[in-house]
Amino acid sequence: MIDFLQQVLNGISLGSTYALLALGLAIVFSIIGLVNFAHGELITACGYVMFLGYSVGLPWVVYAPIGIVGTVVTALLMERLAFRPVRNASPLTMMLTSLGVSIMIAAAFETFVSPRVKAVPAPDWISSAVHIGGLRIQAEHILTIGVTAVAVLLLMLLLKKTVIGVAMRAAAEDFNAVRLMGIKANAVIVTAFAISGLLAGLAAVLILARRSAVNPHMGIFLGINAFVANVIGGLGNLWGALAGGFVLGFVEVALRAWLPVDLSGFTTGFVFLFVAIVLVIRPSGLFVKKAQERV
Amino acid sequence: MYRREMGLAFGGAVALFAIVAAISLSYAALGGSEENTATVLLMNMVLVIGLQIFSGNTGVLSLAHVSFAGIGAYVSAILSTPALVKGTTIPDAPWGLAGVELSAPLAMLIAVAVTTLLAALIGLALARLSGISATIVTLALVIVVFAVLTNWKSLTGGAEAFYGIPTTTNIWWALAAVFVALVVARLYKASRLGLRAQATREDEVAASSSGVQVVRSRYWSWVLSSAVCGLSGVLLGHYLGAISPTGFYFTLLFLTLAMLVLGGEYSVTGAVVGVFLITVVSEATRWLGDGPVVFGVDVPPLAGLSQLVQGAIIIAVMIWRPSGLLGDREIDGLLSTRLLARADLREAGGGPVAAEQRADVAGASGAADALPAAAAPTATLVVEGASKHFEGLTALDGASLEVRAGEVVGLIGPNGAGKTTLLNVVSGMYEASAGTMTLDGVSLDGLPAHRIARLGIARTFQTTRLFRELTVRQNLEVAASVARHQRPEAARSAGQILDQFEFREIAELKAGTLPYGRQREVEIARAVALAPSILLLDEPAAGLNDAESMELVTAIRRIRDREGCGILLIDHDLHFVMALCERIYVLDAGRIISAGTPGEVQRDPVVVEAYLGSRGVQQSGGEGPAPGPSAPSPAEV
Repeated sequence: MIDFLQQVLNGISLGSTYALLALGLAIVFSIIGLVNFAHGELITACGYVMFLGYSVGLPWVVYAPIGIVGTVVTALLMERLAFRPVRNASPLTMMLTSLGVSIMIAAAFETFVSPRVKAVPAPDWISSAVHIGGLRIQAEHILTIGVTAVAVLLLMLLLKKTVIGVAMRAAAEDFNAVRLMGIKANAVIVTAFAISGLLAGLAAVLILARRSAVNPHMGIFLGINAFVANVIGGLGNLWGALAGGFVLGFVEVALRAWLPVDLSGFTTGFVFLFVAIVLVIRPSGLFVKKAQERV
Repeated sequence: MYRREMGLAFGGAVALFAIVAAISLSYAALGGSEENTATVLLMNMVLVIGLQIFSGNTGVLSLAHVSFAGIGAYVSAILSTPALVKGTTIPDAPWGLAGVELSAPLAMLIAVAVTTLLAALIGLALARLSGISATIVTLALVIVVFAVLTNWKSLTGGAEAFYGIPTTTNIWWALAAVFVALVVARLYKASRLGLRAQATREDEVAASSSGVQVVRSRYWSWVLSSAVCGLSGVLLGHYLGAISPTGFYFTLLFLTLAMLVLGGEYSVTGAVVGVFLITVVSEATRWLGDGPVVFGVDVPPLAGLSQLVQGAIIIAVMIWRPSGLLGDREIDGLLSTRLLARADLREAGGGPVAAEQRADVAGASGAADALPAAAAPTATLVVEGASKHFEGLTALDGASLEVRAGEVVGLIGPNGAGKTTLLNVVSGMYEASAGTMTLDGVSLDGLPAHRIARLGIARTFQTTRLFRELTVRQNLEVAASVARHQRPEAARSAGQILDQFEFREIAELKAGTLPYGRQREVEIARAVALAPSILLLDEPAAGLNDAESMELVTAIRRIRDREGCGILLIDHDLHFVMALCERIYVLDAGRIISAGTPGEVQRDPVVVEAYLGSRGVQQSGGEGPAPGPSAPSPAEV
């Protein structure tokens, strides 16, 4: 029982980070239909900004926020330099562009920093833990779950209460209508990217607190996981992305905990098999943004 | 015509091969490391061409081609590596594979077969998906295959290199494989199967309503593509002598993707060009990287640099030239266009078919209003009590109608009455919630769109849905080839349809480049190419001015007279409908509220009310139901 609760806690914690990533991806997708393969690279970028802060001697409480700012800036740069020029192109063109961005960012860190792992230490208190019954609760769990809860809450408030937020929700339904209402397309899209960068930055800080190191290719898998979470929940659907993130977190934790040892290497394999099966069974249902496509 | 096109495609493949062979062999002659580069280039080329077969024709980006290369490489490696070596690397291999030692060619053959078989199995599920969903599943596939190769240690030796593979591949083998790949890819692209796949790429809905089985055509593209990709991997394994799972993962994936995208994914020639250019760039960055060239695992700074350039190239191409350097042009393109045009002229000038057709057209326009004496087909479409609900909304509520061969029937009704829904139900786009439909007594209930199209119900769309990147001729050919297969007695060639609609000058233009009115005509022609017994037209006059509408009246009658088919059309332009149709159904709120000749319908008070409502009566005019008693009404003639 305790073991089960422990795994549930782990699942919520891991699922939270996936949910943050998935939300950022979903916001951008819902507005411009871009499946951003380079979303994971935002995490990598955050890691390297934090690494820079660490190497000039700043403390974690300073370089973690700087990392988040750096992630937002990276997201905005991506939008301005790569995605704005292909904004009206086909989904395939946008997706390939993001793949190019993903490849470039990873390769840039590899070429200009180092292909090797760089340390981004987190303060000791993050890995401290309290025991309640047999349950081991780490500060990192509480931080992750707390940050995610606050971020999601603020995001929902933004979307419900502010003009730009309402414009973004409207844009997800019908972008052209929003433009006709006199709201600048760029403002909506830039805000969407800023939010996706912010959420990715938060996720990155939490992930790096667990891993304490960054390498050029750490982002790609996390990005793909964010993707998977979206697919599970139905791409472009914010609540779906959130739910998908948690489902993915639980599936991964469960597989890791209860898969026989000699099959443990297959964890990722099973996760993706699961995704493939979900998609094949519900091919349209999971990916429909709007139902108007069919004639 | 078809044989000529296939011949040209084959000729193009041979010409392309000659160029590839000349370049690679002369570069290889420079020395050992150059020969190595050239051989690897050729094997990459096979892989990229394999990828082109699927992604280029279906428009679905697949990332899984590297996995099929990996599977091929591993199967062949496991089958052909000396038992002595396997005794130390994979002694516990299942099914006694550790002791198996086949000759390399046999192992390669089996490996390609196994890869194809696996792809055929996976394709059963994958081909049902389209667009981004399909791409995500291929990505999942890459990761699953990598996990299996890395973790099924007893079979693959795990993450470490699988070594001891007989190194039988040389540049000649690689060249031979390029030849096979080129011929397969070009012939497939030019073939009817390939054309259908391209139709699904352009517009799935239009493809299925032209009788194309979307899933099946994607499936065969997938299987063929995987076989070629498998071949590439098999050769690579037998060239390197040692392989590892990472060799068939993201690095190779990105490299080959950049190659395909740069040249243009719709073009086989583009794939070849992309492979050459990216290889040159990679070699240049390697040289620029200035580090020693090490063929080990540890070449990170250089690998990083070349990936940086690959990423930049992909982005640049997407921004400035998303269809790649060549678009969908092929090496033989220019030549073939000229030859085809010349051949068509010849056909149009003297052929008996053309002569007969001209006579026909002249005759038809003369007797446009008369019902055809020889309207042999007796096909009757009967819809009874058709209903369609969308989550609580009832779009169609027990509508019944009948369309007989040789008559033009109108379907009118206020906005939101369910007209297009009815058309979608009849054409199989939607499945009816209730009711029955028959064509000549054959039940259509629950049949998918392509089956209904094949039975002889063709349609057009409210917003034109052409295969935009295909030529006008190809648009017609997609439907005509289906008709030839399904109803050979009624079918005509795309060339004949081109003549009938006087499309000769635009035959080789891309449909998407035509002006709006022309596009609408082509869409009707495409429906006619299906040799339908019932033709459904969704607002054919939308966006046309009065003069054009009246021309359309003549054109539609001519089609009816020529084909003897029954026509059911929706339009908002009541003048147009009244002038053209012999019978009219009025739909309101999902029900047929009135039916009869134009005159009868006009006088029906129920119709007036439905159109104008109680408020609207005072402000009649506009889109009122009354074009005036003087309006021509064929049924009364």
